[in-house]
Amino acid sequence: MVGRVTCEREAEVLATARDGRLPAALEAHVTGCGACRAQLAVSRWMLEMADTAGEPHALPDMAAIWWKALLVRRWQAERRVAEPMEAMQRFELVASLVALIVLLVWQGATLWRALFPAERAVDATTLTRWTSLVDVSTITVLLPIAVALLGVAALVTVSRFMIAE
Amino acid sequence: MAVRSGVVHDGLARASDMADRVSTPAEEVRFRAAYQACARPLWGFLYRTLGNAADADDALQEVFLRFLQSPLDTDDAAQVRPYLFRIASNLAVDQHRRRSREVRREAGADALDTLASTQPPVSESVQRRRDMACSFRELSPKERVLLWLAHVEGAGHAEIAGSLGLRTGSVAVLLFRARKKLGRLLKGKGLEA
Repeated sequence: MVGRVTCEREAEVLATARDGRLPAALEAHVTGCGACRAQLAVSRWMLEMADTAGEPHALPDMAAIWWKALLVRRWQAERRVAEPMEAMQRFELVASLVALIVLLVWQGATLWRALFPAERAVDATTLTRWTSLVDVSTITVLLPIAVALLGVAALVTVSRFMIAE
Repeated sequence: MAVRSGVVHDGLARASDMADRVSTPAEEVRFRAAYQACARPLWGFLYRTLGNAADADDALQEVFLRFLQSPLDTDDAAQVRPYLFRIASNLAVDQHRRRSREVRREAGADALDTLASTQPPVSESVQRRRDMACSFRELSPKERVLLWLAHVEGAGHAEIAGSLGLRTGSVAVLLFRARKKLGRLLKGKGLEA
């Protein structure tokens, strides 16, 4: 397919090239074997290129890497724990907005009358339509608040449960 | 509010305990053994691949951080070393791309050459090896790691195949092609392997 790719003595040639001189018998083989000759030439070139002997350099501190790894792990574990809490916070925000919208729709007429008494005479028809939908009493004011409080209690319980898990 | 901050505090404290429990003394011993055996050759590979000692240091740290994130289930050096080289090879590719982009953005396309020429003067043999490394960097990342593992690390075909996720039979062919390409590169520059 691509010609003679390897020779059965290739590994031997490579190992010997890494050690230094070739024994006479192997050298004779290399002279007659194109694959091994190419291997040897590349090997010598690679070994020379890889040599950093003339460029002394202190490696990064092993202990520092170990402690950095521990810190990364701790940070990741904290992230894992915080994820459900962050999700809960987002959920709480959305739930609060929904609750606010529900409250405004439900008690809008009452609030409107409380905030703008002069409008009562002007738009009495609309207000009558609104108030006829619900029974404006103490319970209709307290119920949404009670539901909201129960919701918060449920969220705290659920987030505690998720963290314990 | 107090309940909430208590919950957060409990959670974070538990997370810290969890992280501390994960790092066992045996793991630290394994890490130290791997570092002592492989750090120097890995640094050499990264240095020649990236062409810069500071980048090689950063990449070496990252290699071991990633190794500790997803360690092998074995202490066998024959498996750990190629695994580390595989991580190093991937990192070297990422870092080289990032660096090239940064340098080009900051100072134009020929800034890499300028950067190389502003390094402090060195002996003739060191400069020659650096020039050789420039040719080496023209190979593809896979070719580089293949040639390095085979010729510098002395890894066998099966070992290389295992570490790079190749079939053992393909390694010989890929190595042959990499050698040919290196030969062509060197010939083009008037250098012979």
